[in-house]
Amino acid sequence: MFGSKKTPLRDAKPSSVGHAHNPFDSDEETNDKKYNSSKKTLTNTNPFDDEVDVDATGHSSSSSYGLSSSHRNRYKSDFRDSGGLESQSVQELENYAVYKAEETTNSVNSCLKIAEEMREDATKTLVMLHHQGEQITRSHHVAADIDHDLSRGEKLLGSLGGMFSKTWKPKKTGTITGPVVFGDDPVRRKGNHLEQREKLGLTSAPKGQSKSRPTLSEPSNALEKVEVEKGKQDDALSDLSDLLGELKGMAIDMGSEIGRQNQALDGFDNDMEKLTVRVNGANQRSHRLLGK
Amino acid sequence: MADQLSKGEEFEKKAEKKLSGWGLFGSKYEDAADLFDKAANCFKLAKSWDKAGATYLKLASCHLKLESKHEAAQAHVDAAHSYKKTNINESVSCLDQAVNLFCDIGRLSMAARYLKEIAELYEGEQNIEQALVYYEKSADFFQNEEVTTSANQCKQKVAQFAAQLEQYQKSIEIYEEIARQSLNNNLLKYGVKGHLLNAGICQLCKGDVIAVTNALERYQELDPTFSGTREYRFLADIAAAIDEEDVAKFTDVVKEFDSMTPLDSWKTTLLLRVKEKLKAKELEEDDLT
Repeated sequence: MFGSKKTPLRDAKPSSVGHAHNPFDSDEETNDKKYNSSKKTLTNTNPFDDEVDVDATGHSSSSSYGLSSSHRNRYKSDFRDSGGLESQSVQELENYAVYKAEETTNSVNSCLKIAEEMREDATKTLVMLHHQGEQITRSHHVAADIDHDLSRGEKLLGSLGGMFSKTWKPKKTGTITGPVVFGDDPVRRKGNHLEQREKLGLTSAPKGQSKSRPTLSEPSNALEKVEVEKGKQDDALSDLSDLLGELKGMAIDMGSEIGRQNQALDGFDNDMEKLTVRVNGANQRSHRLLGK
Repeated sequence: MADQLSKGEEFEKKAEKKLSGWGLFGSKYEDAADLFDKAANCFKLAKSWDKAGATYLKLASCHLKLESKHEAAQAHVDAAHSYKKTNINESVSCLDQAVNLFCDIGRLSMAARYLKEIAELYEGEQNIEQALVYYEKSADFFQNEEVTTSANQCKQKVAQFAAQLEQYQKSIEIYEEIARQSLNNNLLKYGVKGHLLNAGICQLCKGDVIAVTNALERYQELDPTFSGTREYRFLADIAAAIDEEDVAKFTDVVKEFDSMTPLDSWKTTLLLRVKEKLKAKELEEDDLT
């Protein structure tokens, strides 16, 4: 009910992520006119948006260093059309550095977003694996119950028949083991394990970097702008590093759980084979009795 | 289609005839049940869902006469599935009867499954109050049978609907309980931050900033890694925005979080409620000045 509806927030992304450069896009296709018009249409789709002063170009008036489309196109082609890097002015190169820094920030943010999506999917997969494990165990318990009922049935079938008929003995197939309970890795199982790790100083400290970094009110020159972008990239890469570490942990847990379930299914399969043999034997005995 | 319909009616007439006649040792009920089953199948093939449902109910009463409650319950379920296409209320009623029969014979896991199905039917009809009631019952049954994953799924639905109906405390308790349970499991521990985020959003809806701050401290004690997550920062920043009564800051925080993890419609709805309250507060302040 909830998941199926398209979230209105999905349309409006902050500018840092909004115009990430797609390596598969052709240069001709991404002209600034299209970008501006799309930005204008997206402005009011977010229910959390307040009325922001938007100028004619579609940028909010607060952004003081928006680059023109001609500049952007030249940067995209690395000045190939205008005599290469050597023939550019210092001002031009500074602007180019800012553009490249922003582009890198967008790319890192895109990576972070993808990693976040992967983490969400992995979390769902782990929940499903847990559910599957529970179902295997329950099915095995049912097999053990069937074994118990079948034993009683075999006794009854053995006592049936004529007065002089030979008593029927069911085939010996070995005992049914039932579900094996696998203990978790004892170290990781403990509830207070995370607290112990934190006391040891092993857990990653809360990331307050983005908060503690001195924020300049408005970067005045190109160098400051590049530094600001670097800061954003550092934060994003730090988050990405943590996310990848978590994804690694998830993959390990998935692997060990699947291994466990494989073992459980092997045991279940063996028990079901034994039960099948016994049920077939009991059926044959019943047919024989009915045929008399 | 018409061929199947006439066949079904024929089988039904034969079954009625069997019931009105004489039979040895209840064999008439067995024969009638067999004929009703065939009739119901024909009606299903003819896509005459109401007739199929009614026939399955007759089949159920035959099984009850034969003291076979399991088959009767299953017939009620089949009736419900037929009625589902045309008459939701009738479908719910049939499933309810099936649940009662499964409870009588001690098949609680089956009862839980069909209680969940009733809840899903109500959810589809946008009847959130009833859906909540049945998801809650289903969760209890699953919990009794120690089917924890299914129990948690139902509990999460209860929490979701409770929050929609502004029963925030109930929702918070459920999410916190699920988070606590998940922490002790290697596979479920990764979902803890999601549950705590949901609980935190419900705390925000209550509008008590101190309670939110206390909750965040409690969540940190519960899961020491939580304080390093984006979810924690998101909740803390929103709490700060509410404390400062700064709508613009609130909007920026939500936008930034959404740019990385798109918010689903449930979270969007609740956060909009928080924003509306915040706006109203701001207007009050302006009126006073």
